[in-house]
Amino acid sequence: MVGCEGSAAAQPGTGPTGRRKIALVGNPNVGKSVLFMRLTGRYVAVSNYPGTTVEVTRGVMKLGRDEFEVIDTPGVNTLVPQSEDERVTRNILIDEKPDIVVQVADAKNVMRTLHVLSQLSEIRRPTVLVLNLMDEARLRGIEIRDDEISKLFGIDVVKTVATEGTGISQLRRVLRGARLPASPFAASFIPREARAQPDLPLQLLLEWAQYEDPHPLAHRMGLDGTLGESLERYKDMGRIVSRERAAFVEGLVERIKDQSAPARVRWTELLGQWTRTPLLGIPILAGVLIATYYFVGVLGAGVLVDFFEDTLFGRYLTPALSSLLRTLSAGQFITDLVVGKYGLFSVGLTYAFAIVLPVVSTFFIAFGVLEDSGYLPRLAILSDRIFRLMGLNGKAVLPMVLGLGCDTMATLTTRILGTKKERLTTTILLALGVPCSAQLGVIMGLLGARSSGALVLFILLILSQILIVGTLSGRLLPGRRSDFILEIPPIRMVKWENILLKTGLRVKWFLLEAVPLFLAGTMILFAMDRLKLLGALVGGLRPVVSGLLGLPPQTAEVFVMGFLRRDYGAAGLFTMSEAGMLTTVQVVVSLTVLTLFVPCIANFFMIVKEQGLKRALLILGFITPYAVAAGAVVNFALRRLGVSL
Amino acid sequence: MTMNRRELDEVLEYIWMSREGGDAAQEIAECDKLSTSDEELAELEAAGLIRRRGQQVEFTDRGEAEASDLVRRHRLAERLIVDILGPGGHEVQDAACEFEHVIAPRLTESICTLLGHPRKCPHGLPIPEGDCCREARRQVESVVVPLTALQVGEAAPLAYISTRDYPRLQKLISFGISPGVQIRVHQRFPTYVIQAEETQIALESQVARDIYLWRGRSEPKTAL
Repeated sequence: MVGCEGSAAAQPGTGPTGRRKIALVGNPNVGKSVLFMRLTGRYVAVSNYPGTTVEVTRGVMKLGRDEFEVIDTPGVNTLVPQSEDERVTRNILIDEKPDIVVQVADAKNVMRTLHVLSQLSEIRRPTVLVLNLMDEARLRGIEIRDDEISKLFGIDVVKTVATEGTGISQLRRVLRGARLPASPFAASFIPREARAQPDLPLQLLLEWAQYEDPHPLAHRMGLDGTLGESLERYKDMGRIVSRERAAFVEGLVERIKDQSAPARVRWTELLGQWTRTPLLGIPILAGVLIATYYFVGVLGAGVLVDFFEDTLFGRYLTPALSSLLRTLSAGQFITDLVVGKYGLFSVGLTYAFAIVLPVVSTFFIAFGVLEDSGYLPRLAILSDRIFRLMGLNGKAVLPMVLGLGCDTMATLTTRILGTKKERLTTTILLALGVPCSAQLGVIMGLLGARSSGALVLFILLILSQILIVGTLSGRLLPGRRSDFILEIPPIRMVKWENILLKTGLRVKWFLLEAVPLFLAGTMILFAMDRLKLLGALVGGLRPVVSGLLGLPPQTAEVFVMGFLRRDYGAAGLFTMSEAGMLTTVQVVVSLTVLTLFVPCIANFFMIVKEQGLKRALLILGFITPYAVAAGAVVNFALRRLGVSL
Repeated sequence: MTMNRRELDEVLEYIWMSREGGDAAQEIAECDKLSTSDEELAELEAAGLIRRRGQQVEFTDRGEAEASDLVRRHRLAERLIVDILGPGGHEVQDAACEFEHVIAPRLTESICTLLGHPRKCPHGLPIPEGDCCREARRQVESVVVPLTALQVGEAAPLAYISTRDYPRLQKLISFGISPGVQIRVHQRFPTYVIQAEETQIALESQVARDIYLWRGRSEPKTAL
């Protein structure tokens, strides 16, 4: 008899490095990524909302002399996948056959925990159950009889508070001795003889058969033909298995969970309520936006940029470098290349470090607070009805808000959305209308300093474009939207350590990705300027830039920069505006075009990766003329109406 | 002259319907009872079913109960015929006129229950309530209702999820929303926010409509 175990032993789940594998699996937002950090020491993005992990992260854990490869997986509420990220996790379990599966669970939510455990036990990998968030469970008066779970499933159960490191050493102790779980759930209609081989995950395969052909899955799990017959016989019974499993799990909960009165209503709970109702939630949202504006727009883009750009770079670094080049008697060409009009230092690095970096850093801090507090999913409740107009549901607010951090990351996060149509629409809207943090900060600084009316007008313009294009694509694109069912995490006190860590990581990632592009962009401008191409380009675009959009011809340079990165372009506008080359109307028009304009190169490549080259080109081909047209309309309207901002 | 039981019934009904006024006269006309005579009224008075004060006629308690029962049977009969057999003009009336005199009280209750305790006859006139209707109304409080019928702060155990959309079903189950689980409603607008165990879940009304709960069976729960 060749069962699951036999074949697993034949092809042990060691990675290319020969390390044994540990997979962290569990419901969303239970702290898998925190545990991953605790075990491997490697930082991954950790937040307080479901779906932070959409890609698999791997790290190495040392246990005595052995090294293990630890895999952090996207959260699943069931091993019967309902979305892309859930499929990723299921596939890791059956394809990589991890040597140890660590189920990470929210101790407050016993039912969901047992649901996954009951399915996991049928995959038959050595398993350990981690009951995390024990602190929150205790506050709510919940006690878990871990010995009961341990007896029933034949595995070790460890209680932890991963954010504080409690219970981690015990977990490390029991890991190596992880045991093969027993599967106490047996669907009533499957007769004993079909269950003769207890190793076969027949029940799970039947559940999968509701949505996909189970045979390739059985094959991937290394199961032989004897399963085929039972599979065929019961193929349509998956739903009954699912229902019986739910009933079985529900029956278990009473044996395992003790609930006493919670300590008291915590203020975080009240805040959690207030933020999700329109009456209080919308004023709170306004407050959050205003606070963010002051932190990012005024402190970051104002105070800090002034200091870095004018004082540090303008007064000290650039002059110092110029005089250094003079003393080295470097040629004119070198001097121009480094500190000239399109100098790598005077433009490229100044833009990156003096303008964009302060803005990005302050934004990421603010965004980290919003993420970790659990505030963001509440926006999904408030905005659900708006997104439904666009053929989406409130869940789309998560990638959209994340897009304010970085559209490239956000495009990846569209994976949490249920249907292809939703992913495509959100990708288009991200590329079209969501300015990333660097750009946003520059915009806030630029417009806020001029007039708040212009800032409000700009925001309304961009929002209306998102609504228009969103509604159109909601109507025109084939497919349907998915149900809005979203877990709302509790409001939690943020841990500053995590926010600073996360901000540091994001800033580092920004520098690695953006600085080379800023330098490359400057080089291109420099070369074009030398080859007299820049003048030709500016001249060539003049009918569009000056004619249609009513902007100074040099703005064409900014658009070329924006082609590489939108924030690079925005930084260019910032310096043009500082030099007094733009009126407020021109600032609004140019920012509108730049914001609606092509996404940055990295974002474009991410769209290619997620949607394919054809669609990416179509998106690009739609957005570019649309942005120019929108800018032209705004320009025309503002001038016609004689609006002074 | 002494009226037979049937004639007596007709007069009681006539008085009831006159009291309702309006279209009721139309209905009684269809049953051949167009007016009532002085002797008939005297006989009813002698039987202790009505009281007369000059031109005014009013029911005694017993008369009220009997008339109410008669009208109820009549209108239930109309409902039964129209709902089950389809509308058929005069035939409906004729059959109903016969029916009211022959169905036993117990059978009336069964028919009323079968029809779902209707409030109005096909003519739009009120059907007097029977004991079964009052009992049913009490029970309605503990009957299965969609989640959308619950008020904020109410909690009830889940009865079943009614959907042909299996991904939706799977998803709900995986969030711990399955039969028997206590569901608490926290918010109804702009989307529903419910709690199952310690998990708060936001869902749109289209999904909430598919979730049915045992209202009135909620056990007091200490958790917020």
